Amino acid sequence: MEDGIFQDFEMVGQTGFQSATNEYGVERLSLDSLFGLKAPSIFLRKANQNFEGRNFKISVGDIIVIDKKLIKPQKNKLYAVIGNGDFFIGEYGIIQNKPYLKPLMIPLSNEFESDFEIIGGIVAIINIYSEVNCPEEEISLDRVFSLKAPNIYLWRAEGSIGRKFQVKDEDIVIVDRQLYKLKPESLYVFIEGKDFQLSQYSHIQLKPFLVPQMIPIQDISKVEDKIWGGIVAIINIHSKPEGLG
Amino acid sequence: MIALVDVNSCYASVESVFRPEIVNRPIVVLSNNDGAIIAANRIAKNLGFMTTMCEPYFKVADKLEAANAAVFSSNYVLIHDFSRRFHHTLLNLVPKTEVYSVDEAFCDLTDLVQNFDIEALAWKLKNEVWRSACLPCGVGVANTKVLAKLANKISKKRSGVFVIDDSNVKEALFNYPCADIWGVGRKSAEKLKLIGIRTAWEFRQYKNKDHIQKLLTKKGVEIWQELNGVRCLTMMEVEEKDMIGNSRSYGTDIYTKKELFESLAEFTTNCAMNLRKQGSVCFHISAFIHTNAFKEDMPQYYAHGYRTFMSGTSDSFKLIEAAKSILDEIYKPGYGYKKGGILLSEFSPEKEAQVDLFAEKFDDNDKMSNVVDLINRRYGKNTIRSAACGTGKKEWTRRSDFYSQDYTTNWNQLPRLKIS
Repeated sequence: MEDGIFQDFEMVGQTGFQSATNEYGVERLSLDSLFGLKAPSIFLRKANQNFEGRNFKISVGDIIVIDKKLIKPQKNKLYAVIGNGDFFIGEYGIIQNKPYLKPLMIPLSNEFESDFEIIGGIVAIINIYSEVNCPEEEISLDRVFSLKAPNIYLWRAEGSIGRKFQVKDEDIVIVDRQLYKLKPESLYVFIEGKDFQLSQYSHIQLKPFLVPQMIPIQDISKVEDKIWGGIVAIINIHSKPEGLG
Repeated sequence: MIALVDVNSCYASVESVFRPEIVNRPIVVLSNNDGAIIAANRIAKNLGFMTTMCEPYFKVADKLEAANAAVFSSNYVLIHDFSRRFHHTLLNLVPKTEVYSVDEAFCDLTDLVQNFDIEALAWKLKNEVWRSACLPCGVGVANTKVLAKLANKISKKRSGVFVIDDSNVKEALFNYPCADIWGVGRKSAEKLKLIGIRTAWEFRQYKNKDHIQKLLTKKGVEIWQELNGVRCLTMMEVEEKDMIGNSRSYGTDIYTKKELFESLAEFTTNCAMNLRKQGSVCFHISAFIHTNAFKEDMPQYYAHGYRTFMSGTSDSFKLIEAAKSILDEIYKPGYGYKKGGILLSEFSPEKEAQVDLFAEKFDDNDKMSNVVDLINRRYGKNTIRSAACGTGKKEWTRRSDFYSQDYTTNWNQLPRLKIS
């Protein structure tokens, strides 16, 4: 979609009946503002390999939001380090009184003996589940995810940790209403009674199901009627930004 | 060809987007202060609710509860966001789109009819609005705006799309009452009835143009021509406003001058922000306050006043100061005030505004007002504002006991997606 249209076109008024509604209009939500992308301490990094830890999972193309100010290590928090010309992330922990980043067990030391240096704390890892237009030099998450487009909605995850999908309580989920056609392995917002549930199109013993609800997919159009939208990305929050309650 | 796209029961439809369990229940939406029903879905209308516009809520509250109806206060923030999604969707498909109202738009399909089947295009508009903005809508297509409006009304009784062309125009207009034609209304319909015209088809067939001009003026002739397929009403562009106002009925009667001033300061702030948004300055501000005319046993008072500026201004602080001096002049103690409002007028483009040569100094806080706007745009409305608007709990704000959530504009009220 042409993002420019959405930036330029705001409802400044109507030619016919004037509604009080316009007096109450507020700005759309912005990931750029939420993560303070204009701040000099914040930067984005695109993952170029798959990598997995105890409470994070990264695939090629995922986006990592890093804050250079978060360099004072805290146990179980995620950090980015550079060393030997490479970039790594991991969970801070102490083993036998020595600090490490798990799971690669990258040694961190304040005794000038480590080759690795913490360059910032991980604010969020954005796991991407659908095709997005993300050029290497892009610095606007609002543009990457077309946040001003009319079909894009933000949701909050609720419930116990969904290990399979790397989503936990209070994470932010980006949903595209237009993505309702079922595709294997894709994630969806599925309407079940009064609830919206996260679902995945999976094959179990060669038969298609929506999991974890275990809804057999025989008549695709009937199932698609209950799909609210497709999940574009899940933002795993690791360090809560201001403004996110 | 022109398409008129209109959201079905817009206010009610918006409330059900994130509440799937109420889709098949009656839904009604209440006015400011929860006073009257201003919108209802088809199920509620079929049960007899909102037979008249602005049916008082308290009169039917018990019946609504018995019917298991979902009742909502007006959530203008949510409606505004969905309205924006609705219009953006259409604009993305048809660049020549006129935003007519919150839930209606005219789309000029003239450039597209060469390459597309017109009915398929109408279905595309309908489906895209549903798939992007989650809103059900009707699409009426015809040669002119008046016929497109009429086609839209018919579409809602059919599958949701209706195209009027030469082959079915008689069928479409034959039983269509004149009073329901866009721009005709009840009084004009009665005049037409006097000369034997009851339906849109009879109106279209009428041959005496001069007689129509006499009866319904030039506007009536335009409607008559549009019914005959002659385009008179063009696609309009949003014009800059020449007046900006903000007024509210208070949630409770206000007795103190301090509270009245807080409310007027807030209305002034809103108006000034909109004024700056369109790049104008104003030379005139007026304010009014009045008591509740429905409380006949209470003393009644209505007053208004105004101030003019030698140099045009859009400075919130200067305008608030003027509002305060008007209030000082018109306020009388001992009355319970129910409504207040601010109106800015006599605009000039900011860059062309003349300054007062005899003013001692040009003291507008333009830069400060612009920075305030910037902060509020980035961090949310009212993040920073004049202390005159009050800082504590405001008893006078509108009553909204059935307010839903700002699902799409507040990080802390996003819809919930269950994971397991």
